[in-house]
Amino acid sequence: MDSSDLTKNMLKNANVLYVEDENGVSLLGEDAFKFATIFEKQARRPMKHGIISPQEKEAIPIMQLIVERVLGGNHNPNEVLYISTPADPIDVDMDVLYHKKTMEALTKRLKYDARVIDEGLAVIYSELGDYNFTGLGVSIGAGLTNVTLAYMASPLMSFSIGRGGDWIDAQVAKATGLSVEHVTETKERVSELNSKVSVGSPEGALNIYYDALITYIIENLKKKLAYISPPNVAFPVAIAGGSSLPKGLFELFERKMQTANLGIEISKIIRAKDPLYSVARGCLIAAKTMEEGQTLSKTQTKNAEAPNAKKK
Amino acid sequence: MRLGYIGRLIEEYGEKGLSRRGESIYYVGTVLFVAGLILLAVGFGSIIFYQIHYESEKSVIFNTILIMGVGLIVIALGINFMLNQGRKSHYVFSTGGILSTAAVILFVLNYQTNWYYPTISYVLALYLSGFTLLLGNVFGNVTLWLIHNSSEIKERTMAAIKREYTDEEINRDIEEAVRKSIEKAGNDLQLDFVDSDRLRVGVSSADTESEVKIRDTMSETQMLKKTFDPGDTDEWGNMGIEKASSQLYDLLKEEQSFQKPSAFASFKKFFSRNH
Repeated sequence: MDSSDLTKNMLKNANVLYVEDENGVSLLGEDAFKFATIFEKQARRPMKHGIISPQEKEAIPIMQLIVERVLGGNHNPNEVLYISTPADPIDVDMDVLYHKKTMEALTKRLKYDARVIDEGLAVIYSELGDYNFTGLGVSIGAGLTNVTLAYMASPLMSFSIGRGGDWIDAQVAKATGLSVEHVTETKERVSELNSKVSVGSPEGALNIYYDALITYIIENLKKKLAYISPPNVAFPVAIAGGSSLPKGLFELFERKMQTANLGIEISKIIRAKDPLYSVARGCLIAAKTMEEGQTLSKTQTKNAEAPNAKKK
Repeated sequence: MRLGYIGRLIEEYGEKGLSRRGESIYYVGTVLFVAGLILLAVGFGSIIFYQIHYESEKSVIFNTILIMGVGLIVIALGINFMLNQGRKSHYVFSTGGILSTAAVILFVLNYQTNWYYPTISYVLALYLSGFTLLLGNVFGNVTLWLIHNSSEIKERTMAAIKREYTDEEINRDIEEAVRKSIEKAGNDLQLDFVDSDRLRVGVSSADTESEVKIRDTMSETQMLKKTFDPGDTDEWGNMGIEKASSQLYDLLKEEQSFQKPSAFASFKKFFSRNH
């Protein structure tokens, strides 16, 4: 939008979040989606397929802004921070390393002791504590679906697939002729996957593509598990991520997992307590564990040094 | 000159036949070898049968030595025929054969009339040198064949090892090397954000942001620490012990529900219900 005082006043009165640069005013967050739907335009996104979008030239400044707004507050110097990144995707030709390095640099700039963790492993840390952090963590996000198999908190296998909520939106938009933004809005409104839907509604297509996504995840998991020899234990499965929110999806996932012959024993399928924050919680657990471990080792070193000091 | 001629003949023959090791040559060799063994056996039989000693009949001694001498040459020739030989071996083989045959002929010519020293020494030396050449040729060829075979086995093993690398494995190795290289380059990367203050956030940003506060004990932290460091000890009353206690309680409760109540427990339950 043009950067005029009138526009800025209007946005200020409407409580709309925006940023301004030499090219004009750009709206951010939920409001950007709303405006895009009204003006039938496509919302620009700083991330695509779970990584910083290579097609979006403003992606890095926007990501920088987000990181600064979220993490820029008061904190101890060199406080441990864990950031989750996707594992290497198996069906999309993209490399997550550059994204990982950029995110690391963005957070290190804010004087954090930044470390990187796989998204699937973060789900395991958050949800599978009662199972000694052994199991399968599945995070169905917007751009990617991340899967990690861990044994005693150590990852045995990690991969991501290039399908998630965005893929569902794109497929439904293609099938129904609606805009992606409209489908996204409907998807977030739909609280339950139901087989009884009205003709021509996007809900019907959403049902089909959620089913297809879960089948795709399980088939890829089966393929990847065939290449490894995990320990002979029963693995619980935790499912999390923003795209796992609709009611009925967990039940669908559970049904499909029980009938799929994965080659490993599945003991239980768990839905994350809070699917939207599960990955963030896993990162926080990792950071807290690391920080407490560091504090403990520092104390132990001090205690070990103290008698020596006295001797001197 | 004569030897050269014979050598050439053998060489030509070798190129045509011996080198190619047709089946017939192998059979000739085998037949010669067996014939030699028979002759040798006959010679030994004759020694035992006639009980040959220094004063035995000259004709008996002559025949026995002749049979055994020819038998030994035929055995050596048979083995030589059975082997696949090179050009130089053919020369050695033919020289050995000629020398030993000449010795046998000289023995035949001289035994009855002129079998005295130093003639005996010359004939014996001729025979031994011919026989040694034939056996030496066999030994040399067998040794070469063994060396060749072992190197062939080595080559075959190497080839087998090489064959184990399929295209898929080579590609995987290359991908792994590239991945490591990219990772190293990524780790060395020093990212600098030049245009960091280009975007100015709108004034209403403070009103649109909110803090999400969630009460969470994060007991997993202790458990994760314990998983990473199992040797660590727990303090009395901490989350780990509390969790283990509650799990044990749940387990015991579950077991109790499966147990049949005792008669006293049923009696107590009955009265407490009535009360």
